[in-house]
Amino acid sequence: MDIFNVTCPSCGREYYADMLLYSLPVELHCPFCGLYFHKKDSPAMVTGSANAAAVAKVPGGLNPKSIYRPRREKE
Amino acid sequence: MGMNLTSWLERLAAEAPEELVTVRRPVEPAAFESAAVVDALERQRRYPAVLFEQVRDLEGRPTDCRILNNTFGTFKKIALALGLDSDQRMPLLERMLELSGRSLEPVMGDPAQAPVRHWAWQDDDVDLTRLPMIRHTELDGGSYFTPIVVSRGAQGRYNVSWNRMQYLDRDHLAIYMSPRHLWSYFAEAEAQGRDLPIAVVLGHHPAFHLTGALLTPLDADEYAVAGGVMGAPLELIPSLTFGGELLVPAEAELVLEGRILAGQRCVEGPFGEFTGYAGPQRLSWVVEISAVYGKQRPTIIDIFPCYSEHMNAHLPIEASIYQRAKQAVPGVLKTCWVGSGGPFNLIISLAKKTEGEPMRAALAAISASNFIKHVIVVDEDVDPEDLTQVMWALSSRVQADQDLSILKNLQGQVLDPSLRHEIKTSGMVIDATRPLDRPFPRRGEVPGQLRQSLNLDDYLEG
Repeated sequence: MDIFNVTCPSCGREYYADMLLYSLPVELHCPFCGLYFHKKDSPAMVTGSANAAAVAKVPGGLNPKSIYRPRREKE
Repeated sequence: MGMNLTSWLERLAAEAPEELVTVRRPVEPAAFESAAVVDALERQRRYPAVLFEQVRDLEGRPTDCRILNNTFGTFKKIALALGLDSDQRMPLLERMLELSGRSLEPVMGDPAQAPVRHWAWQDDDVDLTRLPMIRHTELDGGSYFTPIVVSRGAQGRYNVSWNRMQYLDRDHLAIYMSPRHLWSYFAEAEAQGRDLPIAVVLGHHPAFHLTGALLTPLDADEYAVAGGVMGAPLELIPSLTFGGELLVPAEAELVLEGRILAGQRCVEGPFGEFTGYAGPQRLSWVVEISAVYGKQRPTIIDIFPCYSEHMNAHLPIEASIYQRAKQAVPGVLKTCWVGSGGPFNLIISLAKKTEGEPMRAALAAISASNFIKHVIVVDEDVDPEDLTQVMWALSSRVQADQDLSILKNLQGQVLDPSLRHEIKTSGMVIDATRPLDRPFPRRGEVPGQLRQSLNLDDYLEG
């Protein structure tokens, strides 16, 4: 089955879960610190592979910090 | 004394002492400590049963329990469980088939005399934090049991299955069910709005546990099948929670009783599985525990997932796969699934009589179990357990455009990490046998008569 990577909002460590849980309104459970958390609180959820971009790929894989936010949006 | 885990451990210590080691210092299974010991042994290619004498509970407190790992770490220990001298694959598979066909009806025991009733917690006294539960691999979503789960279908027949169970709180566990018998029993109950009563057996004679991996028909009573595999009828007593509606083995080490709750699900995992991967967190089912009881000093059998014993414990499934392939093509000689290098790969050797037999045998194996998606079929001169020989046949007897068949839309194994769909998979059959319908080169070998008669010592000095 397809999975997605998710980062715990408390301990910041990443693990993965069944894609079914991505769309269901359930709390996830961090295997490292035991926190139950809402997905909206996760700093990063990645559905495709972080290395999936064949052309515009970033060394080390794409992550939220790799995506430039235009200045106007920041302001 | 009946057939139980203690009797098997005593026999193991007497007949194969090299197959058992004891750890006497306290360990914390919930902090990966017992798993790390088994891991260290496996990295040295050592697979003895490991008996942890002092194990801590989920809060780090001492318990009266023991934990046994690697019960199925070698074929020798499985053979000992089945009363067989040989630890070779094919005699083991044949023995498993022979025993599983000899159902022995269980007998009723006296609950007051049952060893498993030495102590009990019920209702509000149930506190799973006081038990030793195990974390195995780094990503495990929590502490786990890897028990045998006993359930009873609407027709009154018992099912015995291996299921992983994760700690949720003091009286709840998560349970993961693949779509087999337990899953269908629960689906039937849930459709009627009912919970499904279960008993969780955390240790018994290893032959009882092996029954949990057999591919028995849905209409077979697996308590009776377990009796056949164990070589003696199982002694049963009424459960504390459900009375005669759910019977439990009197010689179990530790039993949890409860219900799989209708209409309830939970997030469970990740969990390291037989595939060798930490499977993802997923939606699973919830069990409410109503009673816990056991022997004076119970021994919990823990299967180390992801590691060798986990695949070895699947040997009963290979027996059924072998049987189905041989029924389809009598020329089937051997199979190799457990130990084939992949959890979904099967190698079949056969004495081919006609073209088409390799495909027929492969399809029979694939239809026998959703554990199998890739089959390589080799001739009788290739040992399916010797992967170097198998690769030689693959490279020298296969033309991919003719001998490779891709199968689509099979029911897959839901724990297969390569699946894109929740359960559908593709499959592959590679016919690595020599063609019968055209000339084909012979193996390059010294004349057979000379190979058999030559005494090497006559030629080598010293």
